[in-house]
Amino acid sequence: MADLGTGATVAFDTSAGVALADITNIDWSGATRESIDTSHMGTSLVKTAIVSTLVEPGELSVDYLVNTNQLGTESPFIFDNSGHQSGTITVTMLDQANATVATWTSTGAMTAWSSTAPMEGVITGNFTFKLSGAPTFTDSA
Amino acid sequence: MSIRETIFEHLEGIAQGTFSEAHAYPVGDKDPNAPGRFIVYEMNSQDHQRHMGGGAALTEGQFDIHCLAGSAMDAHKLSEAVRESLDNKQGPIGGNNVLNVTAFVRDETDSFIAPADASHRGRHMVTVDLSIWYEESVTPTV
Repeated sequence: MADLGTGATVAFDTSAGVALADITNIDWSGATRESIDTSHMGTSLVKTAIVSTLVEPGELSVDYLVNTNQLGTESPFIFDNSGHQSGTITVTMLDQANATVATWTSTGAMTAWSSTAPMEGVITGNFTFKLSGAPTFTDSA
Repeated sequence: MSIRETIFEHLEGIAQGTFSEAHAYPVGDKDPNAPGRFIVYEMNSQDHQRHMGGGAALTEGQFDIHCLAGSAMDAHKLSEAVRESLDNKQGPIGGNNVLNVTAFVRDETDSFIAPADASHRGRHMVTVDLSIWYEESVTPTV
């Protein structure tokens, strides 16, 4: 059954208990695998290719609303990482029907952070995490 | 807390501070063709900001504030009082139900309600388009 993004969470290095608040969008660029074209003048009908054995796990981009009274919650994502250059990143997604969660888990580190405070508009921010570990997927119960 | 009581109390104060007999009315509670000087307001939208976990509390209310009078000058006095009180306002508004808001006047338009018959002189109306940001009570989280 399909589900909503509402209720999803992102936690960085769960042992430190750091979770990003007030998320409005989570975008995982997805996994990619390079291919090398091996077609030549003798190839007929269909192109041939060698596909890499390594998978690029991509990036995780998270948009959120900035709470001016909770800036300290965001700072570990930017500078501290709880002493780690790279940590465990867990995305949970809510199974509305069963009130349980499914998870994406990988390792990665913050590679970009930005924030904008527009005139007459809501203050927002974005974190980008470069993933470096094989992601694991866990079904909701 | 909702903005509804607060905006009523604030506009009532503006109306009476401009003309002692004037009052503010939610849309539908006062016929715009009625004689006298008064304010009729209506909420056009209420944009509740939210995130993945539920309500963010921050809300933008869009209001049309109609300032009505038998003369253009009196309608302008009411609309100027509204603008001077609420444009670029950052701080508390209301009476008994005080909310801290950030408010902006988005637009103002002058119009005339033509007389329906010979017994009626028509009505001058200035509409102030107001945007109010405030924090409301948060609804249950997801």
